Amino acid sequence: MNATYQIFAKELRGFLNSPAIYIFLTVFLVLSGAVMFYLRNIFAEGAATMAPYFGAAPAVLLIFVPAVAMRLWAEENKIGTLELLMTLPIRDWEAVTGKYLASAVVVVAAIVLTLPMPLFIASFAKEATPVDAGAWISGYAGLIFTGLAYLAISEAISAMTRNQIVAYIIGATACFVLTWVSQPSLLYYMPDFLASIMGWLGIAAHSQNFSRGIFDTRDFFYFLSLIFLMLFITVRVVESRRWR
Amino acid sequence: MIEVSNLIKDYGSFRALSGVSFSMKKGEILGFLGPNGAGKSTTMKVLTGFISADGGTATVAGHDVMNDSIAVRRQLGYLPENTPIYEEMGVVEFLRFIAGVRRVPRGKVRERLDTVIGMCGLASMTGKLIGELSRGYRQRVGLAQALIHDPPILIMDEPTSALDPSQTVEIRELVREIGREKSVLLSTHIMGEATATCDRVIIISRGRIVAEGTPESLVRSDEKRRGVLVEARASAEDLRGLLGGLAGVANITEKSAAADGWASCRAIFDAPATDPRETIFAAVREKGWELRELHEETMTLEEFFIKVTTQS
Ligand SMILES: Nc1ncnc2c1ncn2[C@@H]1O[C@H](COP(=O)(O)OP(=O)(O)OP(=O)(O)O)[C@@H](O)[C@H]1O
Ligand SMILES: [Mg+2]
Repeated sequence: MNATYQIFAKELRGFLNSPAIYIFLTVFLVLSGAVMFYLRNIFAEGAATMAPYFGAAPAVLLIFVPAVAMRLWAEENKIGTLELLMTLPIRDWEAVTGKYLASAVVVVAAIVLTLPMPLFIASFAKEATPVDAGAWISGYAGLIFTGLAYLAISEAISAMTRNQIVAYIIGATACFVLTWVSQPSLLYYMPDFLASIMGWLGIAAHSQNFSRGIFDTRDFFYFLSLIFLMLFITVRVVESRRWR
Repeated sequence: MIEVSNLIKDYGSFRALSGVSFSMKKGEILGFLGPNGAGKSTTMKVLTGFISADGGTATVAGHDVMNDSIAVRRQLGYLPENTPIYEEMGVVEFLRFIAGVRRVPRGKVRERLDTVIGMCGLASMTGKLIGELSRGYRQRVGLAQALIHDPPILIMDEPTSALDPSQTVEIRELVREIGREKSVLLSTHIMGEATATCDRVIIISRGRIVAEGTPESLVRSDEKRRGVLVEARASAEDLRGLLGGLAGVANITEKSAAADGWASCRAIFDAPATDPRETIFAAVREKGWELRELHEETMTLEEFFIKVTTQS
């Protein structure tokens, strides 16, 4: 526990001191804002729903989250600090979790920071269109789960390379593929048994429920297991250095 | 403190360690010598738990390095080769991080920090980022990091490789001082360093240990053949003749002709009964010649090193 906390604190301090992260954050907020303003007519139409935004926001996370995660392990591999880190009395899983939690703080903070924008837009909405708080909370929960799943995927990819750019590109691609395998237009061309697997496997299938305001514990467990699986893979990748 | 038995490590199909065995006693400074690619760093990486061996066993402070790696790492301070450290961190911030992971009690962190900063001569660098430091100072930070939790065992991979001559001497003295209470395993390419700091050295070549002993015993390990350099006021033929008549002489070579009336020869003795220098001195005195050099040639550690590491 101590080791996890020490890694967490060090990584978080690293993020706060890194100019790059503020650039990523700015880009993320600008893009999120742009998506919202583009879809703002949803308020004008009196539906008072953010559903279209929650549907589009994962694409913005796809650009942002792999950038947060790309250096987590790639940099340690490249500079050789992995040898310093992994010869300290730290278990591999403690390092993996500590890094994950620190970057999760960044991702969650970024998502929360977009909150003033819909509030601002909502203030322009017609009086007759009340804000549906339940749908908003559910939608934001979906975004946070999606962001955390992308983060776990990207951390695993980062552990596999010593090049941050490669980590970013592969990480974003992996997140993209895992999100849209459940796209109905894609499932249409698949044999039935594959379509049913893919339909369940895709991140979009589960985040969509959240964005529609449906909270299903199965979706919750889906995200939890996906995150655990990816962190487990990261641990195995970090461990594999011993045998190479 | 360290027991290594028949350690084997393969990188793919390449065997980097093929049966390395040695032990290190408590309070000993043990030097690891060997040419590039011999397997020094690989051995240290196995001991510190960074990589796993493919065969053999190793224990550090009684803990198995494979099954009980965390317990091993708690007993160690480790300075990896080329001192990989976080460039974006401040010197003090980095040392505090290590102290935290190493579980230095909160109340003692300040004191330990001051101690290692003083020991490693980092006082003027505390305000800097590690990325701004010169290579030598980075190495000092690496050393400070390895010492912060006051570990009983230190493993250092080429601790002086980036230091200037005066820093090198300073760090060697520091290592000697540390070695009074702690056990130290260090690797080096510098023979002088091994002679100056180590109680015992191990020479490793192509994944095998080829020699082991105190620096003095290694250069004398060819006890049977002894070479003596003699310079006397005589003609070269007379000197050769005299030396040739002594018991146990195997070979004589002339070093310089007697231009100024002095001749110089090297005589190799094979398993002499007494010290050949005494025999020569007695013989020269009998002749009444003047003598201005009588010197037993031992191998330098460099010569010994080259000899044992180039044999296949
Ligand atoms: N990760 C690796 N993958 C493949 N081969 C490796 C790896 N690390 C080391 N080797 C090989 O193993 C051998 C031993 O390397 P090692 O680093 O232990 O040597 P060394 O004695 O420390 O040398 P040096 O004095 O140059 O530091 C070398 O031939 C090296 O090329
Ligand atoms: Mg080495």
